[in-house]
Amino acid sequence: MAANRLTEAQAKLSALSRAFDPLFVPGDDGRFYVETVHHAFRQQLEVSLAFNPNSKLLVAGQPGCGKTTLLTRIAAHLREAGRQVAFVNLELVAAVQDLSLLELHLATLAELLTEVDALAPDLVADVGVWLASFGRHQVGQGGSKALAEALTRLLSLSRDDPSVRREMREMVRSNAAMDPLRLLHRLLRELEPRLPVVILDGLDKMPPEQARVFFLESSNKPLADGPGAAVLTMPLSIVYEAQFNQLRERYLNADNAIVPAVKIYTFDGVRTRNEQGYEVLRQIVEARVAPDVADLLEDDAINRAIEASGGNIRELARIIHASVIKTVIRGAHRVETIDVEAVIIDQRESYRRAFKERFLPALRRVRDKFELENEDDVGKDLLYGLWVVEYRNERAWYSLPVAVEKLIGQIEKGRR
Amino acid sequence: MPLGHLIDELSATIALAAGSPTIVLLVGVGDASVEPARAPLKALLQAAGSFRVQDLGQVTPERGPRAWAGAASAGAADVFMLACEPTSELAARSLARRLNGEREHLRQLGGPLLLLMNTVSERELRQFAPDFFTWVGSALELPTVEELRALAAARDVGSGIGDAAGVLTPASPAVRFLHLSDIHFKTDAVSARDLRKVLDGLLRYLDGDRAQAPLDLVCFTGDLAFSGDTREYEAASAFLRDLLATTGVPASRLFVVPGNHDVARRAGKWLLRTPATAHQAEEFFLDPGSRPGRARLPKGKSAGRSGRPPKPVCRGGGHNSAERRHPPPIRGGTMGGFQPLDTSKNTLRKTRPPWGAAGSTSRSSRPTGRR
Repeated sequence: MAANRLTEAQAKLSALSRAFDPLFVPGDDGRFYVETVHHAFRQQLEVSLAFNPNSKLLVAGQPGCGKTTLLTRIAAHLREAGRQVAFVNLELVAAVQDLSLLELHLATLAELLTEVDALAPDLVADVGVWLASFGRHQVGQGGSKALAEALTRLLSLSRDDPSVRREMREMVRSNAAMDPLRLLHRLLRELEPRLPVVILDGLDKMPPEQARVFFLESSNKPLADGPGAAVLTMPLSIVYEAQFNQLRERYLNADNAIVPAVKIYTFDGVRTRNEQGYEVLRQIVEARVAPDVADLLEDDAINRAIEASGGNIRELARIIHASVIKTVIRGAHRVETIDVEAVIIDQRESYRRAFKERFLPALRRVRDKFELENEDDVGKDLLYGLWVVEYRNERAWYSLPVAVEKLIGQIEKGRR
Repeated sequence: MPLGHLIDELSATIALAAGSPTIVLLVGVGDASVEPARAPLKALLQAAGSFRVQDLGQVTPERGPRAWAGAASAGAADVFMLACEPTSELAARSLARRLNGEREHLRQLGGPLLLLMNTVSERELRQFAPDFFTWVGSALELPTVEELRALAAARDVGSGIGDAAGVLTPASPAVRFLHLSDIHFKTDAVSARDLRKVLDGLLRYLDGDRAQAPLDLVCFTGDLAFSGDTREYEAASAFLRDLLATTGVPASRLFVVPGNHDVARRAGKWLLRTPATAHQAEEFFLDPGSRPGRARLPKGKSAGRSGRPPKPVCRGGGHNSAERRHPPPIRGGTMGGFQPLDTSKNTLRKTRPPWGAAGSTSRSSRPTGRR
């Protein structure tokens, strides 16, 4: 059954499963974006950016909760409003697993230079001199675009070769005048009339120990100072660090930095199903489905997938993607609840393999009281591994996805 | 999941992906290696859907998603397969950093990727790279190698045993070495106790790691001792013996080079090429301990008779010189390219300018035929 031998029905199912693969790229044209998702959070960010042109904001959240999509949309809105936006995808341009402020500043500089059309000649010259000091650029060649390209090439070299990273860092360490932060600040000051905004995505992929040093231990908080606005993603683990308070002083919305899951429940002492949350997630599913394949997904199946995802957007997509495969195995042409149930069983077994005894008390507490403890970092592990879904009204509360609830039910039953 | 169902599920996944990237996690329950599962699984998939299966081999910590995407090029196959089994917790952490940092490259995969790992690797990687697992399209249980081979035999597709290694598998097995330096053994009780705590911890760690990641070499690159004192080397020798016993590395694969702390400066006070001041020169001639090797020079070869200033006889082998006092604690090899000074060949003389008047040469450097 190779690709070119798919029947028409199978080809439709193929299109459906690919649109929901976690690796699917929605594109930045907003075609797949649902405005109502994270509406309150987005509004809060946009209001901060509108009122203070120098806002410095943080965005954290569980994997798959929609941070990147949200930031892409905010960037588009800001561009429409005439602001100068640099959207830096650090995962693409730098080795996030070994990132220093130097690469972060260079990546930002490169992205801004790509975006601007005209630039003061002395700044162009100084960026050229900086590049020439690494032997990567001839002084006096090209304008801002050529400089951006040269910087991107240098970053790409340093991403792939740790010795280039070391060489660059050593040079800046031994000569403070070579710190590209100075050039970045000059450029941002020059762009001030266009209210520049730097959006840094990908910092949330930093491993927790590295993130602690990067965000908390250094006195230089990333992009906390200087002209212009900045929005930074950050790993969720930082929020659970004792020194998180220190960040609040430097970033405006540090108190509300967490993008929650879409609220498929509301909670005021008791948990009740929230139809609005379901509706938002149904819209997300519909946005991804081309009209000619829309009828391949049964409504009940979508609702069950939403419930199983707990409101995590990437998890919802993954469940639908895997359900389509179950449909094909069944020899059917329409995704039904039975397919979603089969995926939930696979999911439960995945959780069973990763289960650790120390998780159990915390998971029970979430199930019974919707509270999460972070004793010995169990809470962090559970949030990162999507054992627990985090929601926020005024305060955070938590819930278990269906597969986890099934697993701890089975574990408890086996022990009785 | 019955084995036949797994093959059906994988066939459906590969067909639906139709060359677009997706990750399927196949987890072998337990701690057995999943590496031997690659061949029968490949044979079963080839037979089930006439799929072109490319086996990429084994993941190493240095080869993350960027390398996978490079190896799994579009159109090269309908499905790619990769075994992912870090050999130690350190290797798992190192790979996890790459999985986190390079996951954007997964989007460049030339088709579906089957990632095979056992439960132990899955747990370790989930702990250090939880985000990566949210990019996995589906996660399924992998049957045992025996079950896979039995099904392959039943379906008469050949077990594929002895199949060629995948493109990401290193051409030769990795060499694992431990690199130590700057222990600075001291003899005072407090330093010795502190050091013991640290070194005992290291030995415990190495002992625990030995089964999973056995070492081939140990390199010690300088500063075993703090001041080149004999007693410091006794402590160092004892530690190095413990280290070799714990790691199972033979003494011939211990490589030690001296550092600046490994010199007994008091004993080696006169290991000077040239006295720097007149006062130092006087001291050299007046101090009876300054030329301990001189007495051993055979008659007729004393420095005085040749009319030249005295040769630096202490260097490299006077019986009281620093090197003689502090022989290498364990007989081992040498670092690549560095040979121990062989005084019998007297190579230094040939490169050293003559001490006496212009034109005078040392005897050994004269052509033999003119003697």
